[in-house]
Amino acid sequence: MTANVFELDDTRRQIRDRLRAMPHDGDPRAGVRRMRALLEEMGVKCDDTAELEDADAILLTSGRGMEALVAYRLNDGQRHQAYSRIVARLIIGQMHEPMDAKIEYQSKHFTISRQEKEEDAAVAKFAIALAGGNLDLAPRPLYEDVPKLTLAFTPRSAARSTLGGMHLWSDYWYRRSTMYRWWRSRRDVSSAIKRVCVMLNPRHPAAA
Amino acid sequence: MPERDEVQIARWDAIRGRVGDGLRQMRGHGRSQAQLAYEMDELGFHVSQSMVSRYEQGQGEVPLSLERMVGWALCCDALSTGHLRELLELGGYSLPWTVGDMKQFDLLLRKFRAMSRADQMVLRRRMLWHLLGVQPLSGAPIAERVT
Repeated sequence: MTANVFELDDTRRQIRDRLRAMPHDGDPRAGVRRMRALLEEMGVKCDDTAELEDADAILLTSGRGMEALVAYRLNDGQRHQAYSRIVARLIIGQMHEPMDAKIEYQSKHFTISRQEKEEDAAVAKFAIALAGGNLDLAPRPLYEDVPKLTLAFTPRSAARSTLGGMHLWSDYWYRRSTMYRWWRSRRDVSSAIKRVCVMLNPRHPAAA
Repeated sequence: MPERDEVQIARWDAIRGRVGDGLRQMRGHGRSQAQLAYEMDELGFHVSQSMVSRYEQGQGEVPLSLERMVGWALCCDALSTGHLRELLELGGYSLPWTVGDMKQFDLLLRKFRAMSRADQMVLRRRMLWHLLGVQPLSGAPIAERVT
C-alpha cells in the first residue's frame, strides 16, 4: 500500500490554525467535545469506548487513516487530558509509515528509546498548555507560523531572522530539555518572550 | 456447516496439508496451541485449541479465511514471514502491503509486548482492521462482522 504519511503536515497546519481559535471555558466536558470535533474534522476517527486498562489513549495511524482510541474508564477531566495529548502528539510527534501507534499514559511510562522519551515529555507538557487554553506557554512554532531564520540584508529582515533563529532554538530545546520546558511554561518567561517578539517584529506582533 | 461446492471442497483438500504446515511454522515453538487459541479468541475469532490443532494437522474441514490467516499471523508476530505470504498465495488472497510494511507491523507488535494484555488486545484488534481494511462496526465482536 502506498503510504501517504497520513498527510500529516497538512493536518498539523490545520490543527494549529484551529487551536488558536479554540475557546476555553474551563469545562472539561466542553473541552472534550471541542478536541474531539477538531480531531474528527481532521479525519481522525475517535472512539471513547476503548477497553484500555493502563493506557489512557492510543493514536493509530496507517495508510487506511487515523484513529484515536480513548479509554472508557476516564472521567471528563482525564478524557480532556487524553484528547489534548493526542492533539499534541499530532503536532509534535513523529509518526512512521506504513503504520504507527502512540500510546498515551497519564504518568511517565516505559519507553524504548531516548527519542521516544523526549517526545513523550514534550507531548505531555504541550498537552497541559492545550488543555488549559494557554498556548502561549509553549514555543510559538508549535501553534503558529513564525518568521524564518534566513539571510538578512536590512535591519528589519535581520531582526525577523534573529527572531526566527530564536523560535528554532526554543522549539528545539522544548522537544529535548526538561529544564527548558519547565522554564518555558512559566508565565513570566512567556511574557518576556512575547515582549522580545514584539520588539523584533513590531509590524506583525501576532506572528512574532 | 455452510453449504460448499464440490470444487471448493476439492481445492481445500488439495491445499490444506500445506496450509497446516505453514500455520504450524508461523506459530513456532515459543507459543503453545492453547495460548494461540486464547489470543485469537480475544481478538474475536471463534477458534478453540482443538481447531488450532486440526488446522495445523491439515484436518480443518472449512477453508481458512483471509481474516483468520492474518489473525493467526498477528498473534504469532509472523506477519512478515514467508509462511504467511505462502498461505495467502495458496488461499488466493492478497494484502496491499509490502514485505517491508509487514516487517514494520511485526516490529510494532513486538514493541508493544510490554503493554498490559487488555491494552495489547485493543491495539491488535484495531491493527487487524487496518491490515484488512475493513471498517469495524462499533460494539460488535469482530467474528460477527467478518464471518
